[in-house]
Amino acid sequence: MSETSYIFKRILQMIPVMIIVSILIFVMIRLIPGDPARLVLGEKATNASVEAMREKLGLNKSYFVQYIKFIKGILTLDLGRSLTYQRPVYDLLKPRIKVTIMLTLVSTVFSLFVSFPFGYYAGKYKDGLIDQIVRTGALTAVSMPSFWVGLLLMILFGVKLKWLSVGGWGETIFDQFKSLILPGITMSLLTSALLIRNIRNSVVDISNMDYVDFARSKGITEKAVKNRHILRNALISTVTLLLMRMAYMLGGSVITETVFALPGIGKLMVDSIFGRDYAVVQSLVFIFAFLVLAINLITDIIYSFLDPRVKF
Amino acid sequence: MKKGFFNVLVILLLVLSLGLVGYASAGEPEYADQIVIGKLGDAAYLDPNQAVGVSEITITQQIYQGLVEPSEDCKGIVPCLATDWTISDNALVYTFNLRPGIKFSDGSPVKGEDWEWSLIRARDAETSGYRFAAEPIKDVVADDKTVTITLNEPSASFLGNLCMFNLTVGCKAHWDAVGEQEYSLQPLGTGPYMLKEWKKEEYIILEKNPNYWKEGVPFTNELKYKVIGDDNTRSLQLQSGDIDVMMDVPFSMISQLKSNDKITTYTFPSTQIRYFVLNTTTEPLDNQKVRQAIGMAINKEELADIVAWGLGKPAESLLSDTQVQWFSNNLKYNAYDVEGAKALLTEAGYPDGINFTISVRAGSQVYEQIAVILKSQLAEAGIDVVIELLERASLSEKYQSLTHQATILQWLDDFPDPSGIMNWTVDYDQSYAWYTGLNDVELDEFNAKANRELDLEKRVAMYNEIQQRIYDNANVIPLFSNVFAWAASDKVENLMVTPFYKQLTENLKMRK
Repeated sequence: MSETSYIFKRILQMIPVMIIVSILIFVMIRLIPGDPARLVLGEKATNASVEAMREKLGLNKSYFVQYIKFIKGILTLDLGRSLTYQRPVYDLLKPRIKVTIMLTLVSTVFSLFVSFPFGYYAGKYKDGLIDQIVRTGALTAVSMPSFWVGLLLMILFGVKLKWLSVGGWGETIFDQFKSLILPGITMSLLTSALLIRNIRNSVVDISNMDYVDFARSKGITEKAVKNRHILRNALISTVTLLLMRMAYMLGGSVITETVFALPGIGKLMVDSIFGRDYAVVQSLVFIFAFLVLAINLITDIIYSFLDPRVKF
Repeated sequence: MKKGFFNVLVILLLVLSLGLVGYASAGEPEYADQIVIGKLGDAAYLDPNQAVGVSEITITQQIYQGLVEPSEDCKGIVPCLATDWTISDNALVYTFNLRPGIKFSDGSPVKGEDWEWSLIRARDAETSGYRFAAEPIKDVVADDKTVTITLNEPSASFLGNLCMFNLTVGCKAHWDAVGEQEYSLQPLGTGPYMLKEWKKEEYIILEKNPNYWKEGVPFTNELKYKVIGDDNTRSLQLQSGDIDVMMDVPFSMISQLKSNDKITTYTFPSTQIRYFVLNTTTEPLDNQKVRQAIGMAINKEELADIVAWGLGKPAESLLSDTQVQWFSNNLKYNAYDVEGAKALLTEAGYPDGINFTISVRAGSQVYEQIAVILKSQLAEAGIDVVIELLERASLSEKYQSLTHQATILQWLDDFPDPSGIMNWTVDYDQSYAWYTGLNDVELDEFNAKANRELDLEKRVAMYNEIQQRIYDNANVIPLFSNVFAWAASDKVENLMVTPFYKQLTENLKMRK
């Protein structure tokens, strides 16, 4: 079948998955004990006030009615109103998703810059000094808790050297990217470690392939061997891994966002769950599920471009 | 000749420039236009009716004002938008004379109908978390010079209620113009500051109210409240100069900040006390002797030392000693006595000790610490405690439905009158007697009488009795009180927080 009809079929397959996700999150958030009305009104509210608030929020209506309202909202892009933030959910999500997307991009770029050269040379000179250093370095990076690394970076660059501000989100685009430097580094640690290992192993495997020896025997420069054959083939599994990591990062990192005081969706999600803010949690989970499915599809498409053996 | 003249010119210029430098440095220090304050959380609503969290009240208190307010040392109640008042002999009618010429920050005058609307709205708002403060109001009649409030029942504590955040004056015309939802996002009040900019979850900028009724204040043009949830990050921002004032310094961080010579740490007396709340509807906590034994087995001094890092004091009475006029100085209480506790348990019919579960809030260093220390202290008296960590909302649900056995809660007074905490603890209908399920009808009636007693001396005596009775009931065991800890750059002057957690900003300034 052709490519476009494959893509179309995949998109159709997303629909039942999204429906199941919406039912699951709708039910699960309501199963947790805790009354959103009471949380909003605070400790000193009387039972009567809480009852009145429940009526106002429509919490006393049947689950079915509430679910229909939720689905209708998704379809009309009216995601409801946040209880804890007193804003339409859409207005709340837009700037925060932007922050998370920017953070994901920045840490992805950092990861790529670090892992490709190091991974390649570690693989090329397998068991050599560079390989040992890189492998130990990657292990160390993965073992350090992110909030600790984040704090150390802030102390060094923010307090002692005063090169960057201590957390927070900038006003202008330039300041915003500046405020993503330290969090980007912190978040890229895990991704870099995973990517380095992956690239290193791919490079080792591919370097042993016959066609690499054949390419060399044809007389191509080493640089061309590297770019056209080794890296291009190593890219396949690396790209898959990278896109999976991006999908994960787009879900937001509550630890990084809390430590660096970034208004992203990770912290929003956690705070909304604690505050039983049904509208926000439902919308976020729904969007996130959609993103993961979309990224899966994009990964498969890119895979088909990179690996000519894969055909639909 | 020319050379000599040139020399004289140079010397003259040097002298002049020195003089100018001298003049400049002999002048007044320059003060900053904006002070940046780091706070723990953002506000959801800036409508005093809905604003229930500390994060919101810190802001609304700068914008909205009421008839009266607590005095700076919080020992009494002083005029704010009212100049003086009379209370009728039957304690049913409160009449206030208004300060003339008060305007909202947009320049519109405060009218009688604004007072009527604000106070009645506070009373009738079904979904307000602080409705209890306005519930005694039967009727409000106001014109531009006076406000007359008639109550449902005689009350000696109503002046205290009038200090509450929701009994402040708002502009009815503004409400009519923008509607309910926008009203909480565009506050309009008579206070020293008004809202300039609000970026959710990032910062709120307040600017000077040009129509403020007090001359010459507030000093600083703008206050920027930055939201920094993580305590470590907030502290680092203070150290790097990104913020100038840090709210809510965890006790464990105080010594580190103190050692920084560019930072000053502040501790302010507070009305905040932590309490051990026991559910008297479950065994073995339904036995009064058992509860009293538990109280005797707690080493409150040690608890305060460890959890508050020495910045706390043991508490025996339910009421904070900052409420100087009402605090009972002759409370008969039991000293820390493990053997005595064991003996009392045996007397109560539990010679082999007891066991129960404490449900505490997960993720809170203070509460978790208290639970752990209590567990080890109580174990010495044969009381086995199981600690159950619950997330905030689940915990709330548990104790509000009285399905817990014990928990640890806190109270912060909002006004200088004992009725706040007393009503909450004694009134069974409002909160199941602060989630202890103890329906002490006699105490409830006595407390209601104390609320109506206008004679100050008699009223003080009654509250002394109430404090003793609550101590003896031992359903709510006070643990310790602590101070508020803040920190600021040493360029900041006049940083002051009242025991009711209001930041006084009128004279707050920072040198450049």
